Amino acid sequence: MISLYRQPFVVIVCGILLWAITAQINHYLAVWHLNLFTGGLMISYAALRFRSRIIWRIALPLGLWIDAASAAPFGMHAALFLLAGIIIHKLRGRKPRTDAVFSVIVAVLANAALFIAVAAVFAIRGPVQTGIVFTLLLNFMLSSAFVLLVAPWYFALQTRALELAGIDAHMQLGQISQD
Amino acid sequence: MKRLVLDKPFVTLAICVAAWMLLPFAVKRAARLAFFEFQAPIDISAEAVRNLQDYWALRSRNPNELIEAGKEVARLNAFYETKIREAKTLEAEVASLEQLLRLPVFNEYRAEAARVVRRDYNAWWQRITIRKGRNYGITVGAPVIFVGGVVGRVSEVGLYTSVVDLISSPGVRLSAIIEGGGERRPVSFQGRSSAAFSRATGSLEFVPLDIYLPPGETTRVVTSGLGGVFPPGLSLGVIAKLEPGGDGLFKSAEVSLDPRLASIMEVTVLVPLMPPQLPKGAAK
Repeated sequence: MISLYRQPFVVIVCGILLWAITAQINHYLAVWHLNLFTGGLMISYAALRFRSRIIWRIALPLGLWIDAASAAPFGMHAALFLLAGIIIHKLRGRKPRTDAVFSVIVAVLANAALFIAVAAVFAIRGPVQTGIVFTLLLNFMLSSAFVLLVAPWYFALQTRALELAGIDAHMQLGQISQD
Repeated sequence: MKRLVLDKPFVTLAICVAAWMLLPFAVKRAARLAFFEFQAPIDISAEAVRNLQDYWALRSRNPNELIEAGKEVARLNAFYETKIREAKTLEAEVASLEQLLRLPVFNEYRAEAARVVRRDYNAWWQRITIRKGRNYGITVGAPVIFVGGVVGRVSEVGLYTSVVDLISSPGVRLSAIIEGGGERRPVSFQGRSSAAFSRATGSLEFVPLDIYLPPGETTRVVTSGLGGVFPPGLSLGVIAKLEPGGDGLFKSAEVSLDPRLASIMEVTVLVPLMPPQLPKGAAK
């Protein structure tokens, strides 16, 4: 039986790597007041492939990690990641969830939904200033393009990392049938 | 319980969110700090890699350029040495006058230079992570400055790194005064979300109606020193637009912040040497 902790651990480490890369890109983009968001990409691989308990074990720490690095209320990203994970898990049904193109589409959609959700939370919490819509739109388009670009690499990285940890593709898929 | 998680995931999530909201603040704060401390080595390593890149980029420079740069640095050093001597003389004069006139002594600060390891500017917040934390005595709320004036204030402190909320962040609010206004009447400064590809801005509220912008001149906004966090006289920016407020009782202004804030690499944290003391009888 696959360890219930090894799988989340590998995916979380990959998520932290993606966060570190995104943070470095954001460091350079700060000159133009632009920002990338990749939360949807972090969660979509796990949400498409794993059983719900493992999704929880991945989404919660990754969400809290993002929360600690942001000015958002602690727990906000964790709750949104969990919600996104549950929705993808519910909807994946008979879809070709391991298909690369389908996975990329889900990642882009999940990222867009999370971006809008985070924006909505902040808009509710405080007054929205004029000129922010243009920045948000630009960040949204940039983030979507970035996710579209790196999602195939990131999914391959997670698959390879899981294989290196002794969890091959068949074993990963075996986890799906248990739900 | 296991079936509840599998069959009713949305209900489970709602229960978890409700439980999380009821969790004591101290627990959440401890969890946040724990995650924050784990991020510090990643940030510091990334900065070290960037420094290495810069080093190799400089190595590829023409030696003549480096010699010229060295000469320029030597000229600047000589200039600053003179300025330091002047400042020391003035400090001594101020101290003797304070003693002579029995004036209250302002809180002293220790200047702690720190490198920026990460900039994170988005539509909702603008903050930087610096490479010094509790290991250098940095405290929450300490003012942060740079060559162009005020950067912001420390909002989170870890063991090795700290987070600074920039003055362009909408959550940052402080007391300011308009230079050249004659009287030192305080106004309220607040950061504003910066639009992409434009300068960071802030806004001024409660500007008295009799303040006007002199034509053809730039009017600076500086810290007032009220509140005891920021020392007085530190530059915040220049007024870009001054117009009557909605209530008709005050004016409001748009403040253009220093463009170097966007690419800031070095800052100085003013660590208070003694905590600000409340006057007798003041509400705690």
